[in-house]
Amino acid sequence: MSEASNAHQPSILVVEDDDRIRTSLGMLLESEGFRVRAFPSAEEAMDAFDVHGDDLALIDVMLPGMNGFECCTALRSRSDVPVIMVTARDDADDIVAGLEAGADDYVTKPYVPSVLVARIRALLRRTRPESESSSLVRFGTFEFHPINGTVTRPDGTVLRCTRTEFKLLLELAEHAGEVITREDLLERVWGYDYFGDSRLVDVHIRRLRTKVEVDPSNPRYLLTIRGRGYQFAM
Amino acid sequence: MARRPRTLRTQLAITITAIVALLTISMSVLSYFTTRHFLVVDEQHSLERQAFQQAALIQRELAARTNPSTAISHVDLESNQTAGLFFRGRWFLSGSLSASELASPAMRTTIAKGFNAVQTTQIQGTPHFVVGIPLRFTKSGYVLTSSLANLQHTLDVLFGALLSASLVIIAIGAGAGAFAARRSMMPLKEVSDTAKSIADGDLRARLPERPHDADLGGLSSSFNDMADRLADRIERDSRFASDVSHEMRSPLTSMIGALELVQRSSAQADATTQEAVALLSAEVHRFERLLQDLIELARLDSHRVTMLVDEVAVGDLIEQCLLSFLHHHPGEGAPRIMMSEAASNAVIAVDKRRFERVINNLLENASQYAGGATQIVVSQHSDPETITVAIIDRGPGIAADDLPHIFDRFYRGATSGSRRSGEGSGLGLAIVATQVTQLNGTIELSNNDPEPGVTALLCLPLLREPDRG
Repeated sequence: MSEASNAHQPSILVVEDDDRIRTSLGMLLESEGFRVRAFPSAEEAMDAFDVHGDDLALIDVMLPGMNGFECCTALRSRSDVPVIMVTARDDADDIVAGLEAGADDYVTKPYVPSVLVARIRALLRRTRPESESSSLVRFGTFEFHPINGTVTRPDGTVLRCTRTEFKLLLELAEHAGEVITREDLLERVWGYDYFGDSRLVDVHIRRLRTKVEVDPSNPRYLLTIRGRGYQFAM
Repeated sequence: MARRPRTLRTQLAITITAIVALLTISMSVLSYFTTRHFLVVDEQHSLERQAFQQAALIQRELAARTNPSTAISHVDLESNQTAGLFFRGRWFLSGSLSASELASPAMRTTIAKGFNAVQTTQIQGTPHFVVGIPLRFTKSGYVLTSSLANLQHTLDVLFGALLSASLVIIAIGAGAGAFAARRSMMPLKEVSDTAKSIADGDLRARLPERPHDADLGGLSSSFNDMADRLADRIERDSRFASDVSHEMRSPLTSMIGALELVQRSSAQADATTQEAVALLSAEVHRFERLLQDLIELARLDSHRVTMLVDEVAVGDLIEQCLLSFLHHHPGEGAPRIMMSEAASNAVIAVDKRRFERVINNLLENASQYAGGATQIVVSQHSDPETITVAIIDRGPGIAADDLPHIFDRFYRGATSGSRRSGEGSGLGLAIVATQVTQLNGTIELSNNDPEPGVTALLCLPLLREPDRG
């Protein structure tokens, strides 16, 4: 699969209040072939956000006024654009809060440019529909619609998922009945090829349960297998 | 031999015991002598009374011309008494004693002069009372003596009883003294226990407040006050360290970004510029590692790190840690992993990321000082249930002077000539020590013997048996 063609430069929405970081980040991402639209506050970024034009959002947690989590939640209400949160290193509360606000992934500050660019590319790859040939995938009584990223529940409810949630659910459903470890899910869904952060999986599963399950605290489809991983039960 | 100074508790116990002993002994002595005095006086009076009555009787009989030996035989005597009648130059006796024993020359003289005489004297080795009464005839008198052996026996029994009672009371007093001393020292033990907890890192340990206790209330409140201030001070220091580290993050982030761009365009620059950029890049990345370690330590110190406990098979965990290390350190040789099937399948409940940090730092340490670890040996112990991970290198080892300090922050060793310059923050092992403590485990670094190199021995509690379901 060829990467970003010249015709379409992926557009990245950057929300970062520190002028110098914003400048260096802008230069760095532009040199990697991205179009960068950078804003110093969440309010300005939300005003300028283009549902169809922006391919990915990079949001710093610490912002004046509306903070990064609120910005992410607001963005989610309008679009399923992939979001990467920039958090303080190893601040578990920030990381989990960011993921629960709907972020797809996170990087910690100070970040290594190559790692950040790799995360962005992995997310952009995930965003593009992979199986354009099949417009509908059926597993048991669940129906997956890859084109618009929706899932139809057995009771007929249509769920809107982010691309990451969709891919995670699809991955589990394709292997229904099998236990998949967190590490395998990190590799297959997020593209991590080494010891990643299993909280990414855990928080996404939690988010999926609120959509898929009738009673999220007592899951019937997305099961946790203690000490091993997750399983999709038909 | 140097005498060990007595503890406060012993001193208190001894004092209490001494007071009890003094009181008991004086009470006993007082009661003994009082009792003896009354018994002796009583005995003396009754003997005198008896002697006067008998003398009067004999006086009447002699006046009625009764034979003196008959008269003396009419006298009623106890078994311990002897009576003697001196009449016209002759002694008439009734009882066991002889005349010379009965009346001493001094007594005879006194009676002869017409006076009553009372004497306490030793006869045949026992104390006797002797009462002498002159009769109304010339050169005549009546002498009555009584052995005090019975009285002495009574007093001996009393003495024995008082002595044993005193000893019992003193013993009880000593016990009570020791108990009271321990009781009264209890608050001191509390103080020392609390101080120890604080020294061991529990900054929230406090003494119970005793607002109604005039003696201990002040101690408690000033001790707690001191602990509050200490905790405050430590928290302020660590918050400052944490704030400084966090503030440095933003400039460092833009520096890293800008440097990346400079590095890309420096491919066309001259050799000196390229060298300078490479140096700058190496230093910035070292600074970044140092900052990350500082932030991690500040977090650990503040005890605000959440534990995300997963149950994982030890084998998988070690393998992941090693893969992650090799991913971040391309070009490192992989150490050989040795572990039994049982150890590999054992399930451990642990925060994986924190465990990975520990293993990563130990491997980094080995690579820094010894050119890399050569072996990782994992074994399982059932008593107590622990998993041990030994990370072994074949480097030059650790100098004896450095061993006690290897877990100190920024300690790099006086003899660290073999250290590769520019690597490591000097905080790696300090982070290991703190992490391991918070994971309830132990870590120990020691030199191999007799082979060269160092073994880092990590022990962590194993919470569950392998799942054989």
